[in-house]
Amino acid sequence: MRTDMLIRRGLLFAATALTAAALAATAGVPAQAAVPVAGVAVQAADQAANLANAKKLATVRIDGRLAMLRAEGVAIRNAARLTDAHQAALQKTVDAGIAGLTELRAKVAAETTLEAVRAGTRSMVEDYRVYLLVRPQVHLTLAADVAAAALTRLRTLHDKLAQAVTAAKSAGKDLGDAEAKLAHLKSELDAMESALSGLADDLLAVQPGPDSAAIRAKTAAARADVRTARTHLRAAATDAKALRDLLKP
Amino acid sequence: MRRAIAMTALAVALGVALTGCRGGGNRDASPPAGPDTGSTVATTPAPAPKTPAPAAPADAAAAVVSQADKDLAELDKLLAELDGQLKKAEESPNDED
Repeated sequence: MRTDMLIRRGLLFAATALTAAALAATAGVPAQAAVPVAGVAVQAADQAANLANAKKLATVRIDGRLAMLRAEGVAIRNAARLTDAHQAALQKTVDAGIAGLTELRAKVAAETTLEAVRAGTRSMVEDYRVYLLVRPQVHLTLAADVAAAALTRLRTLHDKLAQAVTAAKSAGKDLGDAEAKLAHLKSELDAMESALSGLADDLLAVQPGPDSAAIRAKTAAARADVRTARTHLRAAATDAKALRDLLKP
Repeated sequence: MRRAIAMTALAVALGVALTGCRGGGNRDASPPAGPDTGSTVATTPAPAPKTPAPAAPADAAAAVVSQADKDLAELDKLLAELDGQLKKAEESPNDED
């Protein structure tokens, strides 16, 4: 009798435990299954938002470059001192950049993956180098051609001043150190010509690419040469002014 | 007979005179041999044309100074343009790209 009671209690305990376990199991299964479903949906929404944002950002960056290239095109067309060859070369670069980036803009807008947008962004930078290369190419070439025009004018002026100095000395006029100033003026013009030699052509030959350090080194060298030419131009102009003052009646 | 000779002489004289007026251009084209003393209007002889004298050194120097003024003014403009282009070609934060 006592044994039967113990057996019944054991069975009841076991049944209760199994029922509780079953209830717990049935309550837990749907909750655990819902978590991955919701996570996938959130992830998909995040990816779509990330893709949209990446495309938006890439488009804004492309538009900035297109605006810059259009402005450079205007500068090239309005540059009075630019040689025909340099103008043609720069215009070709700008036109190719505008065409390529416009095409890339449409391509990026149609991309469906972040990886593709990232590849488009990389192309936007490395295949065009609008800021790192094209802009310095335009303005340093313009500066070099302006300096070359100044050099030509100063060479002609030097020759006229030299003739006037010779004539004035023949007439017995004391011109102090005019001849030394003429020699200094000539040496400044020669140094200026040396700084400008091949500058624009070398700079225009640089192509865009992934090696930004190499591009930067070349634009920095061209910038330094133009600054050197400007220094000599200023010194030569100072000499010419002094000679003009000596020749004044 | 005399009358015929006189008429012929008159005709020849008239012909010579007319030929002289047309003159083949010679008499009209050639300048007067001397001053027109018979005229009532006094004319002064034209001054002899001046031959250009070689420019004096002072004039040549003044011309060079004038040209130098123009060239130097133009050079100042070129220098300002050069400075402007160099400024635009300076590195910017966007140069990373």
